[in-house]
Formats: sequence, structure tokens, C-alpha cells
Amino acid sequence: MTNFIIGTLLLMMMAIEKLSFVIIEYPIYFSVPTLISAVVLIFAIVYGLKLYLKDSSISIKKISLSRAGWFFLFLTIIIIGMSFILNFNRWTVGWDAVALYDARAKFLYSGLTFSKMSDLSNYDPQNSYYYLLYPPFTSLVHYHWMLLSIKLPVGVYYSINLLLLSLIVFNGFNKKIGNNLSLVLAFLSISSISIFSSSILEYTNLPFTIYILLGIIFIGDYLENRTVWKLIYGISLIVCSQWIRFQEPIWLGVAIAMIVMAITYKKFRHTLIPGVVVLLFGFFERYSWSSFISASSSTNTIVNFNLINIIEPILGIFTGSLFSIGLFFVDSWAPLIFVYIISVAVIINRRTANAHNVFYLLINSLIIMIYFGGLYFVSFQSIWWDKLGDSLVRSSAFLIPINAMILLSELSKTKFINVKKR
Amino acid sequence: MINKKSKIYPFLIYFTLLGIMSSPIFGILKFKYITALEYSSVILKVILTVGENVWLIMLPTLLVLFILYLKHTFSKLYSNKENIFWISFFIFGLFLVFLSEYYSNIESQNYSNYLYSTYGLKTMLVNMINTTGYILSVFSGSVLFGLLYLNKEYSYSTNLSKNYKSFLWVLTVVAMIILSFQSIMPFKQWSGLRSYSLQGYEKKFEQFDYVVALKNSTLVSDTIVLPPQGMDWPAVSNLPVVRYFLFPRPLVSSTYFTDQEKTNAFRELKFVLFTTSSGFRNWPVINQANGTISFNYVNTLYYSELTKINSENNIDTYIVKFKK
Repeated sequence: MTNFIIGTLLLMMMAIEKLSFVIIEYPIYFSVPTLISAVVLIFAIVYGLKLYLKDSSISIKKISLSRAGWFFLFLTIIIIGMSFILNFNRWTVGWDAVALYDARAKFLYSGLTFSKMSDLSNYDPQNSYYYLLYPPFTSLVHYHWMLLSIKLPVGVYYSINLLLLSLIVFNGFNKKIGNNLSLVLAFLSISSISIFSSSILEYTNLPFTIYILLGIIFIGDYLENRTVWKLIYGISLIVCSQWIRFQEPIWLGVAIAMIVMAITYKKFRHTLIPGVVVLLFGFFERYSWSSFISASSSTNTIVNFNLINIIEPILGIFTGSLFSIGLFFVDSWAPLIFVYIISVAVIINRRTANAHNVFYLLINSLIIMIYFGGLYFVSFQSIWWDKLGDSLVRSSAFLIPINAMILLSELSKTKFINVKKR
Repeated sequence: MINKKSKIYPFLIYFTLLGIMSSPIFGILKFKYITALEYSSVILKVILTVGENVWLIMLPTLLVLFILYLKHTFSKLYSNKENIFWISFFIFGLFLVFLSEYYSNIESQNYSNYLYSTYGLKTMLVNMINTTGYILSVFSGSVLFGLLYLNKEYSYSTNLSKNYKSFLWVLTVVAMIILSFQSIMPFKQWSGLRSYSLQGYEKKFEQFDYVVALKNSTLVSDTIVLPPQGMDWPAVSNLPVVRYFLFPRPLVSSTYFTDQEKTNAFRELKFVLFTTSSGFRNWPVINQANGTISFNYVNTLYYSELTKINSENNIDTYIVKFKK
């Protein structure tokens, strides 16, 4: 139930931000795709709500914890407290927020619209595409934070996100690994330095993480239990996460995972149509922002698709670029990349092809390939490609709870950890 | 009695560890040798350079030896007496971690490149020792953990799949340890995080006082030109960053001023002066005798009037006018 509430809140917030975007940009016609996606999102929320109320019984179960469980609950609360303490006293924002996310909120507050923001760079040829590089969500949240005159630093919103993440992780996996291990998982997730540090930075990473993670959890559960409202919510969360971060096509990985599952296993045939739905809505969502960018300004995107930009990376395989970029990739993502590879090996070893195993195996593998592919591709197009290393680690943080869950559930199978399932 | 054959693995591992440790030592010797003598023998320099880089071969060798020794550990030939070797690797790994962190601390307490300029110790090699230490302690720690536990639950078998499963189990524990290390960091870094969160913009951005001076000495309608974006002026030349503080003032990049016509269209611009006396490159380049100014170090432009409008904290703001 908790995750249903959180999912509804997240989707409603996304719908509100999209509608306010349309209102801000009115009467610009190229915000119409965003309007369409907002309306579809609202329908998805309403339909999902209807299904949830029809199917699920709202019951509050008593949670009993072992001593270890209480200990990790305590640690989790400490970590959340630490994040709040850091943010309550922080009246400055991070570099990227100064340059982009919070700056755009300031511009909105003064009456400038997104479509006019690219004019700011008229005398700045080096940064001509800058203000439309990232989707509007984060800036709109900051803008509304200003509008509501909340007398707290905007960083507090990110601590709230961290709290939500701990709830999402706990409720998302406690049916699978039990309450006590879920608390361990929640602690490991929110205290993991790449996630914790993103809770004290006003960047896109933490909101992106919670939307993607909850979406993947919902879809994973749907694949196992066929709960339809989870499918609707899962697809909506994954697809509209593009409005927070645009560059990493996680939705593509999820869609391919679902389609591959359907093709490879007869018993997962039912995932084919949902997978295609993710693909179609994902493309439309992507189009809703990219069409706005190209209509508002003559901007470059980070990744250009033309013949040379496709041939060069292919040739690069034979000149050893693949190896050197692979080394950089492993170096940037170490040591977490080893955790992900190990959990892939763990799932493969399980030999039971149930929905969760197959889905998470595919997600892990595909997303690692997407990140590597993206890095490899961009390395041929820009000289600052090696700066993407940090960004890669931060934006892929949603993999931490998933992989930690796989490893914990593996350890719980041995007699080492006594697990009382819920 | 430990089987003589079994002793060969620990011996080889110690040998490679010695090799890895020798790299920084060779590096120090090379530095001392190069800086101490006017005349240097090429052969000696080559030997020292090779020694400095021997870790490149030794570290992968160490990993391979570990995996082979692990395979041996889960085989019938292993005896519990050999646990002492894994314990010694674990302790040695911790030692390397603490040693490298000690030296890294020295570097951070002084200045960048302090270790190299004082001892000849390259930070890259310090980091390499740190990584080696972590690999040693995490790997050995996991194996010891597995040995302690597996001793009670499983019997050794030459069944290959059982060995593979044990190997995978060890890897699972390794992964959990990595995740735990990641989770300890917020506690470890708390004081650093706290001081970072209380930092004002003057600490976050170099030359922030120049941005403040510009804000104080200009009107919101004034057009401001900033130095060329780059490492000479990391923050104050970054238009998006500066715009956060100076908005809604129009900002112009130095790179824009490529010809007189484009420049004259502005009528007047304001800027802060950077001089070599305050530790910067001279910007903009002004020639008062000729009445020229250059913003991008490439194109020289004629101005009609140049006046200092404000001086605060040794930072001078100017207005430059152009005739159409």
C-alpha cells in the first residue's frame, strides 16, 4: 500500500509539473506533446487508482522485527536525519544547480519562459544549447518551491526524496526477502555514498532514481503477479522519468527486457504488449521534449545521429578504442560495476527462470550495456566525454538497491541468515 | 604439515606483493637520482623506470594468483593450517590501506603534488597501493569468512559445481563487503560533508568576489562582458554560473567580439579588470595609447571611451564605450 501511495504522489507531481509547463509556455504550440503526455498520465493515475481500490484490500499489517531489524531501522533513520541536517542549513546550491537547475527556476520566477531561455545564450556561442539541455522537471520543482515561499532551503526536497527512497526500497522488497533484510537493504541503499551524496545536491539524480526504481519494482511485480495497476504505474513512472533526465534511455532498456522475455520464454508471452507499450510511450515522451528543444532554438543535442557519428564508433572497435574506453568505464564505475557483474553471475547461477530472475538479469545486463554504449558513442563526438564518468555513477544509482536485493536474497538462502518471510 | 606444493602459492603471492611495493620505492629512488645529480646514467634511469612500472605486470599477476589459490583452497589438498596465509594476506592488505591513506592525508594537508616534490612519491602509485590493499583485505577477508562458515556447514568435495557455488558464494560476500564500504562513507566523510554544506559561494567559486563586485557596481540593465571561458578563470568566465548571480543583466562572452561591427552594436559594456599583479592573466588587453581593447586575445577593437566606475576590495570595474 505504501508504494501505491508513493507512486500516486510521484505521478501526480509529474502531471502537475507538466501542466504548469504547458501553462508557462502557453500559447506555444510545441508544448502540445507535453500536454498530451500529461493528460495520458492523468488517465493512467485515475485508472490505476480504480484498479487498486477494486483489487487490493487496504490493510495495515503489524511489522515485527528482529534485533538486527531494529538496528538497521535505527541506522536508516540516522542516515535520513543526517541528510536533513545537512540540507536544513545549506543555503547555497551545487555547481550544476547554480548553472542550470536552480538558475532556470530563477528565470521562471522572473517571468522568462523555457522557450525564451535559449535567447540568454545569444552572446555566448559556447553554451548555445545549455538551458534546454536538461528537461524541465527539477527546475519546475525549484520554481514552485520559490512560489510557495517555503522558508527552507530547496535541498530539503532532496532529503524528502531520500526518505521516499528508503520507503520504496523497504516496501518494494519486503515480500521477497522479509522485513529485517528489507531494512538492511533500505539502509544499504540510502547510505551508499553515490545515493547519499545526491541527496545533498540539487541535481536530477535522486528524483530520477526514485521514479525509475519504483517503476522497475512495479513492473517486476506485475511480471510475477500480473497486477495490472502496477503495470500501469510502472510504465508511467519509467516513461515520464525522461522528464527528469533525458540522456539515459532506461525506458529503452526496460522495454527491450520485457520484449526479450516475451520472445525467449513462452510463459512470458504476456509481457510483449506491455513492452511495446513502454517503447511507444517512451518514444513519444522523448519526442515531447526533443521537439520542444528543436522548435525553441537551433540547439545541438549531446548525441548526434548521422552517418559519420555511427561509422566512427564501429571502426573504433578495430582500433582499440573499445578497450581503452572499456577501461575508463570500469575505472569510473568501480567498485560498483563489480557488484553488478557478480549479481548477474548470481542470477545466472539460479537456474530458475521465474519472472523476477529473468527480468532483473535482463535489466542489469541491458542497462550496463546502454551506459557503456552511450559512453563509447559520445567519446567519438566530444572532447569532454571523460567528464561523463561521474555522471554515469550518479545517474545509475537505481541499480544499487536492485543488486543489493539480489545479493541479500542469495545470502538469505544459506543458513547464515535466518529469514522469516512476511 | 603443510604440503610443500601448497606453499608455492603463498610464496608467489608474496613475491608479487613485493614487486608491487617496490614500484613506489623505485619511483622515489628515480626522483632522488634525477634531482640529485647533474650527470645521469641512461642505463640506471631505464632500470629505475622499469622498476617504477613493474606494478603493471605484478598487479594482474596477483589477481590471477589469488584466483588460483582460491581454487586450491576449496580443493581436497587444502589443510586448515594454511589459513594462516589468508590471515596474513588480510592483515597485510589492511596495512597497505592504512599506509597509503597516511600518505594521502599528508598530501591533502599540504598542497597538490606535495608528495612528489618532497619525496618523489607519485600519488598515482599511492592510489595503486591503496587499491591493492583493498583487494587484498576484501578478498582475503571474504575467503576467511567463507572458510570459517563453510567449515561448519559443508564438507569439501571435488564436485566441480559445489566448488563453483562456493566460489560464487565468496564473490557474493565480496560484493556485500563492497556495498558495506560504500555505506560506511557518509559516516566517514561526515565532517567534510558538514563543512561543504555550510560553505558559502565565495568558497565554492574562485573569483566569486569579482562576481560580487560586478553585481554591486552595475545596474540590472547593464551589459557585461566576461573573460574567455576556461581554466584561467574557472567560475567567473562561466556565463551560466555568473548569470545565476547577475541575472537579468545580459552577459556577453569574450569569444563573441570577433569584429568591430559586432562590438559597436553594443554601445557600452562593463567588465572587471584582471591583472597579473592579482595573479591572473591580463584581461582585457587594453592599449590606451592606441585606444584599442581585446577581449578574446585575438581580435583588437577600437573603443571611444574607457572609464573606471568602481573600485572595491582591489577589484576595478570599468565601462567601455564604442562609437557606432
